[in-house]
Amino acid sequence: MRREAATADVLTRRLISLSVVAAVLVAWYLVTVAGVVRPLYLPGPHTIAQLLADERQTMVTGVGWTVLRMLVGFTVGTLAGIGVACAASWSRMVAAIVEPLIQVLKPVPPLALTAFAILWFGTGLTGIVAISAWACFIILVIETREAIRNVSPIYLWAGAALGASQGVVYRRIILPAVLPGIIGALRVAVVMAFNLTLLVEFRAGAGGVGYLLIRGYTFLRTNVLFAAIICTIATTLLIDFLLARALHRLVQWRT
Amino acid sequence: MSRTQHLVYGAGSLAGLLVLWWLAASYRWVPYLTGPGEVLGVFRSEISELTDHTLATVVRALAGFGLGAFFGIAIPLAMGWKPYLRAALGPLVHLARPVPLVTLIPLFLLWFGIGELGEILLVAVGSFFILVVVTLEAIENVPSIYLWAGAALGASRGHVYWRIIFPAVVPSIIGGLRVAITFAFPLTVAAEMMGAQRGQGYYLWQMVMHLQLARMVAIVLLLTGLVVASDALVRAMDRYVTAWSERRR
Repeated sequence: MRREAATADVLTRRLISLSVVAAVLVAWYLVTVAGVVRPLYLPGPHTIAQLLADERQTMVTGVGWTVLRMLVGFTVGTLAGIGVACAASWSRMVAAIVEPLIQVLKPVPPLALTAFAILWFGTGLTGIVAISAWACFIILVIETREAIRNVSPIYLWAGAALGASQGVVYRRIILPAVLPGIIGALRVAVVMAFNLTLLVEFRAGAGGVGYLLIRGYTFLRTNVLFAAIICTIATTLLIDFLLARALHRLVQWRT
Repeated sequence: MSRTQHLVYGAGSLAGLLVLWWLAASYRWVPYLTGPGEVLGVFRSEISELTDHTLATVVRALAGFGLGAFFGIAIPLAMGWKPYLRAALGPLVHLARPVPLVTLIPLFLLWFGIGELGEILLVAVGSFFILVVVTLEAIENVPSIYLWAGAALGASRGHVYWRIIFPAVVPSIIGGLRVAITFAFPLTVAAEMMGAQRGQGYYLWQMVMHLQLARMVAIVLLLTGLVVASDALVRAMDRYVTAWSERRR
């Protein structure tokens, strides 16, 4: 009896969820078709779908460029961050030197630093990825340090008792133990890198989604703007999904 | 390594950074660099202009943060109270959440022009989603044992909600507020860089166009100050409001 009631309950809730999403789409369509809002401000879902189909090529290339740039910044920054954090936990001298620098530089907002990127690094790939790399670096240094501190000392004692050298302890004990702790940081870093890449592309990113967005705005092609936003949402979802899957595989051993 | 050695290395590295900056600027190792002296000079001569733009940014960021935080806390609380509301709003929230905020800048410029409204709403959307995610998760993670204890002691549903669930999610909400407010200022500046007539971001982009490095650094330092100060403020509030919690800080 109760189980039946519970499934009915779940079903009703699913139905509500679906109908709300459908209602929003229908309302959007009707409002634009009826001419309540000018297409300049809100193009209908059908015109956006049409545009996505017609300019598939441009959109895919744009997303490709942006993702490529984002990944370069993310990879460089992340690896550097993890490396420096490991070095700082390896040697107290490195920690004493690096830590105050990180503390001082941490609160400087990367979004504002994008203003310097082009002046310092030009409009090439370096200029576009530099700030993303920096932001990912800071996030990962801090979180990896924290995660290393949280590695249970029992693992280290066990390693030492079994005669592992410091290098082996790092590779075989600390790194695997730290991974679960930095998953959250990696996901934050990806989003940050994506935002930063787009912001730089607004000014200097020929070909990327940021460029498409700003072109849509300047030429008042609102459906391009919306299509590009939909592409970024899809990309974010895909990246987050892939990252979660990859990380899940890496930390499977845990439970 | 002793404590003094630790301090010496720390102080040395910070001093090293300053000296390196000064050397790189005075000997022009890097094109477009400015020294600490020039930045200080800007603070002395342009202080009224700098504060003017900073105030504009603060007003926008706080207005957007307040708006977004209010709805970002109220709506998840309502969703936790009424399962049907949760079913209705949940999918909408999850569909809209992954939008990278920066992509909304051109859209809001188109919709609301380059006045205050677009920037305030952008920050509101940003703060809203941070708090929605945090609050929803916190409500789900309230230990069931609290709820059982409440039910066993005969508490009504409303009583459980307001006396058990609500206090239990406050620490997480404050964590969300911290993230949101430290993000509110840079987000405002990012929006202002793309289109505004006042504010730190507007000033910053003007100075980029005129290659005024010292002024750029000065305004970014002020922005950093805002971030640090607001973070400290929320942390102080946290210590006061959640003094009861066992969480280590």
